[in-house]
Amino acid sequence: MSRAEADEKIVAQEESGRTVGESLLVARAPGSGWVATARDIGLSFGLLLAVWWVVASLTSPLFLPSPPRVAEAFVRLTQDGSLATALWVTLIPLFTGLIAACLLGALAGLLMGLVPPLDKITGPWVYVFWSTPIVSILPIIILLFGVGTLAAAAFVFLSSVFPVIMNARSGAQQTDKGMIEVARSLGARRREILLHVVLPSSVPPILSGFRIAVGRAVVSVIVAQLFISAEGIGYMIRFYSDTLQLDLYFAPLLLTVAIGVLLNGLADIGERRLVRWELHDG
Amino acid sequence: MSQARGVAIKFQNIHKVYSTSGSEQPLHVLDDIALDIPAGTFCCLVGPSGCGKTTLLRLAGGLIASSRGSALLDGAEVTGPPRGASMVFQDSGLFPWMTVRDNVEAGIKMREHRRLTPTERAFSQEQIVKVGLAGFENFYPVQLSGGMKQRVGLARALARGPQVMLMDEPFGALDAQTRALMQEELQQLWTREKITVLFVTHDLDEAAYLADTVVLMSRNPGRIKSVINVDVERPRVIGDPRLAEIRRAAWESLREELQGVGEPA
Repeated sequence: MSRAEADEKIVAQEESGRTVGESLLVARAPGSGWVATARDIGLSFGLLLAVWWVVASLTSPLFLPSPPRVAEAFVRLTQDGSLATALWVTLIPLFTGLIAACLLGALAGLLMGLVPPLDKITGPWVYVFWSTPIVSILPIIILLFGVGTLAAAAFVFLSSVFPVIMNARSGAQQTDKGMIEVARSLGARRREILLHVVLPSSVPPILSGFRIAVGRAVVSVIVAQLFISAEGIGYMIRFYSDTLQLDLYFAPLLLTVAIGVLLNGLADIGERRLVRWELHDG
Repeated sequence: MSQARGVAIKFQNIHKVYSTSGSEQPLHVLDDIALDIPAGTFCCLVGPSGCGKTTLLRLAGGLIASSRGSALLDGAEVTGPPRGASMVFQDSGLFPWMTVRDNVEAGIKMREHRRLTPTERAFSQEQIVKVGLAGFENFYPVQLSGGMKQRVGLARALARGPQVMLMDEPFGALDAQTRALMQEELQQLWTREKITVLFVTHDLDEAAYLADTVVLMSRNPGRIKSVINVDVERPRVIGDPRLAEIRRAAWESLREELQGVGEPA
């Protein structure tokens, strides 16, 4: 037992050694935990806001409205309910398309990775779609699904499903042969190898696929509404820019950024929760 | 019981040939290997790389099939991974997504294809304590040092209550001090448990220190060159002159082999 403890001490020393190396490179700000994190984030955005304000005061408000004017517009659009409606209309196709892409993409990718004959046929399709700028098939989507929520959801799905498929597929294909051999030596059957070895080792690549999908989904739902919808955040952005009401234009734009940041943050947390075993301190 | 008293692992005239593509000669990895390992003894397989020692171990573990001849474990022909055998791997072979406890319990779970009974769970926990990892049950492999990972691999092997342990250079990747420590502990453990061990290594000191019999192999094709009995009582001490003598004799035999064939580039 004392030996295990000694081992642990060695690990701990190695870890503190790494921290020392890091702080040699960059002087560490005092403070710790979420207070320090919040302070750093506040500082970062405060600076950005200051730059915006200065630039806005130097240019015509026609091109770049100042932060207070945007804030005012934001409050107005929130109070009359138009922002909330637009948000709702945007979130529905965003989440339907994204969730469908994650579930079906992971399933399809795993199947392709596990069944080589299937992969031979469908692999090239995925490469072709992966390389196609999905925006260019928007006209076909409009023909097929019209200009409503369904079209936006379909567009979100098509934009975000391929990174998930690709990652799930390579995750299943690149399962460590050594791990499979260990499971075999323990007596595992095919189903157990699939469930306890191939699947868990594919989780990290699938989650990185989800990360890419989230980013693409947010972009594509806005793009869909910019081009085809008469409602939603994307439409608001287009309408206010077309009519040169830039203070009102910035409100839905900032909302989009907020959605993106929030979803990426959630994906981050989810990833950390699910693959604790990949991290050094869990 | 008579079987258990007798021969635990028997290799009956084993041949292993890998057919290569094109006009090349088929690769004769193992050539007519015949070897009896008595129950409860510790046998080390030593030889230059490419002599087929790991292949022989994997044959006994049922991971590959022989081209001719058969391996017998407790009198039964090996056709797949045997219930009564546990393998220990050089890279520890732990599943990174499982905690220490789950890794150890997987040794039983994957054999029985069901959840563990409370008795089995308690027995697994005992093995974790035995290898000195009490308190680390919920750690993931990435959080452990190399030596600790090997301990987990050992605990997983022991949890299966094996008659035979097949160990493939388990300490090969460890630093010298940790390796010495692990060798001492393995000797203590083995003295208590009296499991039959087949242990592959390229380290002659390790072989002399641990083994009852050291089996030296030659390569191209892989054959048994000589068998050295180590009649030194246990517990042995690292640096014992009698072990050094065994090591010297083994090296003489191996050097001849290396000079005869020539070290490939």
